[in-house]
Amino acid sequence: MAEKKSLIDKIQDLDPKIIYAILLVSLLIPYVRPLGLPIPISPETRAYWDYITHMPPGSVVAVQLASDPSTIPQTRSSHQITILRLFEQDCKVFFFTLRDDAPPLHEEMMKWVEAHLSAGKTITYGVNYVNIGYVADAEATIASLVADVKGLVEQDAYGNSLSSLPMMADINTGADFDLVVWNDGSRGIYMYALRQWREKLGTPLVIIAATINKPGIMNYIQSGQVAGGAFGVDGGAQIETISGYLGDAKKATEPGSLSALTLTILLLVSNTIYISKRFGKQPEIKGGEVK
Amino acid sequence: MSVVEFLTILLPVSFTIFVMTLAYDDNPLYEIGAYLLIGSSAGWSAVVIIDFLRKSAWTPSFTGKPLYFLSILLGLALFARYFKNYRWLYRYPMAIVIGTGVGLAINGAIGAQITKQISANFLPLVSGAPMTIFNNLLIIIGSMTSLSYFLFTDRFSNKYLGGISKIGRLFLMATFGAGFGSVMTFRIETIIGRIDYLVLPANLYYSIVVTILVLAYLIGRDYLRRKKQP
Repeated sequence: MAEKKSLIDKIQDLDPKIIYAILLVSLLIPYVRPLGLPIPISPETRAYWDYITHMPPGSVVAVQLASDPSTIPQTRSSHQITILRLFEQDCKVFFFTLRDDAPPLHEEMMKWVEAHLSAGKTITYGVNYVNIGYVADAEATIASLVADVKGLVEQDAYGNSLSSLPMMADINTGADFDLVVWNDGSRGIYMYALRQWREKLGTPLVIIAATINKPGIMNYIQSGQVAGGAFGVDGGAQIETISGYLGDAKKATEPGSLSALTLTILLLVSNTIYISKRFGKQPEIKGGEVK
Repeated sequence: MSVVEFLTILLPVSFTIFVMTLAYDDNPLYEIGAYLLIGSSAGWSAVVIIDFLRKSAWTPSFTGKPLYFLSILLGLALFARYFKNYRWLYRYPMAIVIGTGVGLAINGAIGAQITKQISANFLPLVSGAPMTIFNNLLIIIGSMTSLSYFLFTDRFSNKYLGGISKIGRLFLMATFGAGFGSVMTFRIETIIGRIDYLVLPANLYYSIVVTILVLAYLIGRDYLRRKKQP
């Protein structure tokens, strides 16, 4: 006859599929019935947005996109609202990307930006913005860009000569930029901008990144080297809340919160069982018999 | 709806669900989804990178900047690794890549990652809001005690001073915990990104139909497997 398992043993031997199913249900609940949880604004997101909104008209801003198709849901809201806001403030934007799969994402976000510009506002390629597209993912690329923008690539993403674009007339080195907006995705390559741009020229730097990079970047926000940051879906939802623009992030925070809560409960249960088994009363063994 | 529009919705929805079936078990649908993703990503990357090479090295080297051709030769030398007699050639571009990378990184790191991070620890402890003072104190104690954990001299392993490194270990554990938490949140947010896509009004009908078909396949496959077992 098979030995009867205790509840603790049953939980310990739980099929991972059941855990996945519990997690999936917790993810889907807010889609069916939104919970209406509040979205508090963190100091780093507030600092990020304040920096963007205080850029004077005519400022030249470099925007780097290193999100890939898997991380773009986490950074899309922050990224596209930032671009929209910069255009609304008549800033000139210089786009580039260190990820080879990011250029289509940039084009997709530009469509959203153009569709959401305020009535009567128009942006012209070459005058309000320039896009050089993909450049090699290396620190040397940023060092080269900072030293000589037109020396890095002579053509933009669409085959135009950079020298022929009106916006590029006064942009020659990294010192000609007033702000760097660095969308890091989950790459952890913000160090390139920090070391080669912020450190060498003192150009202010703000970062958009997936949640995974937040702990690392917070060190540099605390030290003042990074002016602010928007991290993950939560950061995007905060930017949506402050700016008033509607994106995908706000509705994604509730499934995130609920599934994180589920995972925390599962972690607590599993650790409690582990600790109780490790430090609990052990069966006494005497003369080969369990007593 | 045209065939192209139909496929533009059906394929991403299907492949997203195929990849998610790994949570059930390793199965042919997951493999189809994963391998197609890897293959198409590699193909896409090759096209974009070749275009970048054309713009930044090939075209300039034939339009008045012949030295740019050197970068193409160095890039080709990397492939010498696959030829036994010319294997040594790949060391030159590698040396340049590593040397330039390390040189540039160290140059910026001393200021950005060492001196400025140290000076960021000189925080006010007497002025400001009580919560700010408490946070500053926490940062200073956390930094000092965490650093002491990596001092392996006798002074820090004795009965009294050893306690400092033990406090540092607690701070380190809290940091690792925060890191682990952010990794979990990141993974969840990645899944949410795909679920958001699946539940878009235009995609929802396809998502439901594909999910039902995929589940039917997985359950049917399991049923047949069990039936075959003696």
